[in-house]
Amino acid sequence: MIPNYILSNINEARINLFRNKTRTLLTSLGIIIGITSVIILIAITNGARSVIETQLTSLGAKTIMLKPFVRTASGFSTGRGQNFNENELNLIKNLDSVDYLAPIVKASEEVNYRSTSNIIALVGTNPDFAGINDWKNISGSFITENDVKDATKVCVLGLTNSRRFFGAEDPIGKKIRINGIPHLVIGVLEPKGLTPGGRDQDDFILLPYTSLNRLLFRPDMSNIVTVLMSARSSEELEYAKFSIIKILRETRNINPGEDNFDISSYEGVTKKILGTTKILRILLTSIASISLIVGGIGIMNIMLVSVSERTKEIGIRITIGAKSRDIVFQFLCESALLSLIGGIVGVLLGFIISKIASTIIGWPAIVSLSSVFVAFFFSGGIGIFFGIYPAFKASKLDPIMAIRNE
Amino acid sequence: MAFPYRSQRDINMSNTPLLELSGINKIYKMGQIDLQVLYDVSLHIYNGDFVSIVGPSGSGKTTLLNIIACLDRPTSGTYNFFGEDVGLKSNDEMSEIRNLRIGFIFQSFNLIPRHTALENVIMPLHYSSRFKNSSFKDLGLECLEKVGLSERVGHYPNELSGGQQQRVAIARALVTNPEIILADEPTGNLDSKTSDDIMELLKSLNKSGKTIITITHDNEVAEQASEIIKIKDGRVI
Repeated sequence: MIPNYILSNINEARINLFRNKTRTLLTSLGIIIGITSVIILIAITNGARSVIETQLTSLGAKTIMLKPFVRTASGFSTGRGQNFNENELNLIKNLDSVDYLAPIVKASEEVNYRSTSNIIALVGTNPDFAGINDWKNISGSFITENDVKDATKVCVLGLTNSRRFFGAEDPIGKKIRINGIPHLVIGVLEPKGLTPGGRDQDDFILLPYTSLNRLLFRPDMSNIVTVLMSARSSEELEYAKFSIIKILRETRNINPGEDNFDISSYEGVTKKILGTTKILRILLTSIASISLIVGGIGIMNIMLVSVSERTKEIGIRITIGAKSRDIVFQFLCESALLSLIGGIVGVLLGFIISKIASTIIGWPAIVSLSSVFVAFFFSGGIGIFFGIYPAFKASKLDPIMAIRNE
Repeated sequence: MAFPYRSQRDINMSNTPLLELSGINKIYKMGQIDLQVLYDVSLHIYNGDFVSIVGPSGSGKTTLLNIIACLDRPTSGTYNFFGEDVGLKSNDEMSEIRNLRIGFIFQSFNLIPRHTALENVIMPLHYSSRFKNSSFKDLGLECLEKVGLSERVGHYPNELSGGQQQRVAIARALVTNPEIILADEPTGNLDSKTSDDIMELLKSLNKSGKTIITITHDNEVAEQASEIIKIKDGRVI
């Protein structure tokens, strides 16, 4: 019974709106423009966010650093630290919120090729290292799991060292000596240039950490100075850190406050930058919302016109038994439908325009399902909100006077 | 105090009236001035009556009809509708009375132009919970058949003649099967031939048991009723 009542009112509203197509279109234009711009703005800022997030990844914004030290006010104290074991690292690696995990072993040793010789920073790690700081090869390949397992004598050069030892020559397949032991060059990394502090980020040589330990006659796990990890997304960074701390406290059977490890990240940077995009999105969306409100006022205006045009009809309906709520409902259905039509057209237009815009500006436009739902609810809500006054005005008409209106 | 109007039935039988107005006054406030339209009107209308209320324009007959129709409330006096005091009813309850117990027929037909004949006829059914949606169409067709318009079901009002439009309006008045039909100048906009047809239709409805109340200033129309109530300057005479 009730759904039928609603259906017949919606049908009534449809008949009225389609009877006067031009007016319906012009009235819903405000809502169309508003919803279109909200959809586009959300799509573009979502796209911008994903671009920024990728860029942040290469800056290490999702990176978590774990050290076998305890941080004190004065810096690092090694006294209370405890080295990580393979079991702990496997447990952490298996967390859903952690994408990559790379143990880091460091050394500085003499490296020579033909007549060139130099003391070079050596970094021992595993294949995940590339994923964490977004290192890419410009030639050759990267360290593999098998290299780590077998401690093969291979190395990947930072660009500075490729130039230092090989000049214009292709280093791939050549052998350099590290501490006198020949290592096969399997790849060269894309340069990252200098840090703002002037440190050359490309002046190092990567090896499997097992190979580096063997070279230095060290046991495998005791020399890990840092474990680098990357959270699956910047939103999950805090959760990942929390999970890592939990695992370590459980396996080591220690209470909070007795931690013998240190965990840190650059989350401050991420939060600040993503916070900025959030502010930007809120700002842009609120500007777009103003046009929605203007559109809503347009709807209220045309509904008032519609009520006064249909005064006689309302009089007839009340006379033959319509209650106030029947009249209110009829006009609310009409204004909600009017606004929803605007909403639907707006979503479609917004979708099309943001796709076109994304090909022009060259960054993705992401029309999220949630923004579409919000647009529908918002436009329906505006129709109802701005329809309330005209609808109540209609329901309060005196049928005796209204029915005489021509 | 004036004598209440007494119909033939009132004298012959001692049954209770359907509608019982006693001591009805209606005063409109026009700014500083009070304009009294009805003075102490009392009348009884019984089941099966065919009553004409006649009087010149400005006599208060429309105001009286509005009160009988539960569209307006008297300033003082009591109006019992089927033995219940209308003065105690809420607006929604008055809407329900108009919807289920009174059928309305107007001088200018008052159909809704963008709805077909059938849609106009079933409109009152939407405002009651008594009827199932699935039965709307059958009820509407049945009423259109009663007024002889089965052929014009899907036509819009502007595709129908005046007489046909008034028949649609009568079908709409019958659709909730009310006991009372109120007709406000039902033939005012029709030629004499069509007027006769419409009056015949009203008479046959009266024969089938409907109580019919019309207001008119046309004596020919009034004379076809079984009772005539004359009203002048707000008083029943």
